[in-house]
Amino acid sequence: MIENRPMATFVSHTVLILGVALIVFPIWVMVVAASHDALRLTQVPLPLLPGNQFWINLKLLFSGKGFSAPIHLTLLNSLAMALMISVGKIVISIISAFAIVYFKFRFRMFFFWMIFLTLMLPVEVRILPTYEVIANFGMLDTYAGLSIPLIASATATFMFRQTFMTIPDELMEASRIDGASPMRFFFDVVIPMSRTNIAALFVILFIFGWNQYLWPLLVTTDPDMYTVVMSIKQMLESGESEPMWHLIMMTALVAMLPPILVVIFMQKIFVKGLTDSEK
Amino acid sequence: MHKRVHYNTSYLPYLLVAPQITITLLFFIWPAVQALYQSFLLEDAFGLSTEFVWFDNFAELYDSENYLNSFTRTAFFSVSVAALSMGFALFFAALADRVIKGSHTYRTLLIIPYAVAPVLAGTLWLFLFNPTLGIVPYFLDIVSINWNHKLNSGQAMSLVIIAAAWKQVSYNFLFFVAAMHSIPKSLIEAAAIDGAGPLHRFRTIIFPLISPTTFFLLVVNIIYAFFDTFGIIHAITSGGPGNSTEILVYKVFNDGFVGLDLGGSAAQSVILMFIVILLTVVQFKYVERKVEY
Amino acid sequence: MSTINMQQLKKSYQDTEVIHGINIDIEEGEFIVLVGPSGCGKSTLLRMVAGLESITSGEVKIDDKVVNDLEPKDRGISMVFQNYALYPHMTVYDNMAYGLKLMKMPKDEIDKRVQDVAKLLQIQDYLQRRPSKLSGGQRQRVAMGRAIVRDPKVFLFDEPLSNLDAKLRVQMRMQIKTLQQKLAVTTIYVTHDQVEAMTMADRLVVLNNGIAAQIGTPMEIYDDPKDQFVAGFIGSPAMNFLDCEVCDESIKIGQQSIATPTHVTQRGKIVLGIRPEHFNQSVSDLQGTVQMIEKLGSNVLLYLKMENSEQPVVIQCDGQLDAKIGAVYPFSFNTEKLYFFDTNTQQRIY
Repeated sequence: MIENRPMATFVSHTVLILGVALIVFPIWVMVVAASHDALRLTQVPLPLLPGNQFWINLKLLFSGKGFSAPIHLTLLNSLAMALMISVGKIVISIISAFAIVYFKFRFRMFFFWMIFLTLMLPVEVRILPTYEVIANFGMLDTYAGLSIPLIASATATFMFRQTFMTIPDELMEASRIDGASPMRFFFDVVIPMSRTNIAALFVILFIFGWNQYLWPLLVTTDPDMYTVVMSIKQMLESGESEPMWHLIMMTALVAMLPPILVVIFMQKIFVKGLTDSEK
Repeated sequence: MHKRVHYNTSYLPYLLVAPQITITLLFFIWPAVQALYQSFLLEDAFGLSTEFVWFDNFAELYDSENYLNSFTRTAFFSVSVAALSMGFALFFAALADRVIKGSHTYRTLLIIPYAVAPVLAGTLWLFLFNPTLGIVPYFLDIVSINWNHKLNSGQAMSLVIIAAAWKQVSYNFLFFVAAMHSIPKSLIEAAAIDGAGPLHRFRTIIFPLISPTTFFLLVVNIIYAFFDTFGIIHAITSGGPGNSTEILVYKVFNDGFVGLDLGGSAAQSVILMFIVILLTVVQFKYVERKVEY
Repeated sequence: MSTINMQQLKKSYQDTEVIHGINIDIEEGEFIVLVGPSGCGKSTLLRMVAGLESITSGEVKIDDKVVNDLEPKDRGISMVFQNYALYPHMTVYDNMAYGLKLMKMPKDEIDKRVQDVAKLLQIQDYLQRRPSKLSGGQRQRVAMGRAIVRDPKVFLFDEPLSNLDAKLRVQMRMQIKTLQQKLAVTTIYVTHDQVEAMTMADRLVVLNNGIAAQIGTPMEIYDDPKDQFVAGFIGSPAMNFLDCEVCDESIKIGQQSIATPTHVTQRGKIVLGIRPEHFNQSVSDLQGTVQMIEKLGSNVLLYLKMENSEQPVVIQCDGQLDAKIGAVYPFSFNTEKLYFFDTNTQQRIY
């Protein structure tokens, strides 16, 4: 800040606090709702302050009574899917970026543009035919079916490509003189030097994977394969009666907690990775 | 584009790109080709026979008022989401850029929506705006506004826009902050010495300098609104009331998986593909200037 | 101790030839410096010996064995890079030990070698530090250490001192030279700095546009340059070149002239070369106007303009000299030290 204007600073803070409050308000209301019982949530106006039913609701949720899929199972499914997508994307992107940057081979550019093309084909655009491919492979209701069609990644490949371009050429040459094979160089130098990028990408992709909705909705029919994010929709549609808001909000809370915690605790790396990767 | 120095191994690079290429072929290129092919087919109601109908499916879409409406609706929805979300983010980024104390706390809280799944975001806003119970309709009622997005299509559209914009605020905020951060301090100081006040500085220096970011975000936000908001709409309105919140992506899903109109759905997919390609090209035209691919 | 032979070495990128058939024979333990302006191909040549750059045609032999198709690691070489190329995520110790580990050398043997070399280079105190925590000179020594620890047959240096400040560069120059003499390892050293080249080399290879313009000891090249390029490149400050015309009696430089030396038999246009340190101030058959004065302390450089002559003449004078800009300054050449070059081929004639 250039000039010292206490009044302006005070106003800035006030407005910022209001803005942040507005953004956090839905989350707050969710947490509040998750801490009241079903009865209280049918009375207008709804509470704005937390009740004392939080742990009871949590216990109720994990007891799994009355749900098509027990929450610990859906959480596990979400975790498996998110990890497979994020780790899978990182692995296949880092090795293809390594090939494209460090090797001279036929069709190199062709492969590069092919990977680039995936950027233009989000799953939403090709849902039906992709669904058919998965069905033909018998991959419906499997973790593989949930994750593999999502793990090709142009963005991640580009990001690694860019990272590798900043590694001095001489390091590769020094490693050749030291007697390192291409893969040794990859494991001993390239990967350690890309650690921050890998971590940043992991945060972004973990959230991407965890929050998948349309795709799991299509490829899972077995309740045992449901993910926690998609289970919310089933709860919203529970019959004719008014939904059980205290449990829905508790489920929503549980479902969004892992990615929120990841973002908050890896904030620095995440913010840097996000704003760098898109440039 | 690549290194000056290279390895010259014969098979290794192929092995390294193989997984990515295989997945791309199987789950990206092949389905895209399928979609293209299916968009030329007409399947009868029982799925017993198919007929190659050239561009009939597209012609039908072109004649379908329903589809054209969905098109304009999507455009309206995307632009509204982008404008609302970016406006809010820019305003708060400018404020956060001013203050030193607490900016970390503000940022931490503001990035939370990024981590929330679209369908969960939809659920939260649905709960807030629940016509019978919701806290917001309760207050709106006090000022004599009757809120019922289940019946009122304008209100339904507003709600999905708000929910979608809310989720995207984090992303926009982070980029605006980064862009403002990269403006050389000396530039701002020079302007301050020249006597420009904070508002004037923002208008004449900061805003023009972050315009590349603004443009980039505009494209990203539109892509987001087009493709990543399925969950929000699915949770809040399921496209209703009527078709008033049925955007293109939602319609592809609805016609294909619910209505089982494969040819029509495929034709819509193809059109969407072209839109993504167009947007990606625009995006990369911009990115190109900053990065050499 | 090894010999290196390069025979008719050529290198092309696509259709452009950048190294045009180079022959160099290097003896055991010799310190060879490849010197030339940027883009002359000196680094490419070095990298061809290292195996980092493929050889288009010709042969590189180390100890009489053709190494063209050997991987760098199998050639028995070590290389020190301009930017040192230290692995930033490894400690100094690991940087030095990395190559040995890949050789599958036993751990205690690695440790012994690393410790010995660290002692030799006086870097024992920061073996556990990362390169980013070291100064430029320290990094340079670590890079040397990594090269030495492999106990190679040949050292290759690619402008290893150009990232250091002037003072440190002079220090390191001597250290490298002393170390090389102590270890007696055949060395090829690339630099664009002719002072570095002169002070360090047993023999110099002056490269120009992918051709070895001259090979010889520093003094041979200084005293007896083969062509105008070598003459101008080696020696500091650089040799003066004056376009002149040789007549029977005199050599005309602009409107002034000197007597034609008896051994100069060619007539007509010619390029005369004279080093700034080879002027006489006691005799004065020539004169020029002082344009610029550079006081270096121990001596003074005068930039003179001779009438009707384009090129300024640089004269190295005694440090006490008191000259004024615009003044007319008389001088004469040390006629023993005149060089003559052909105007077209730029080859040295006399």
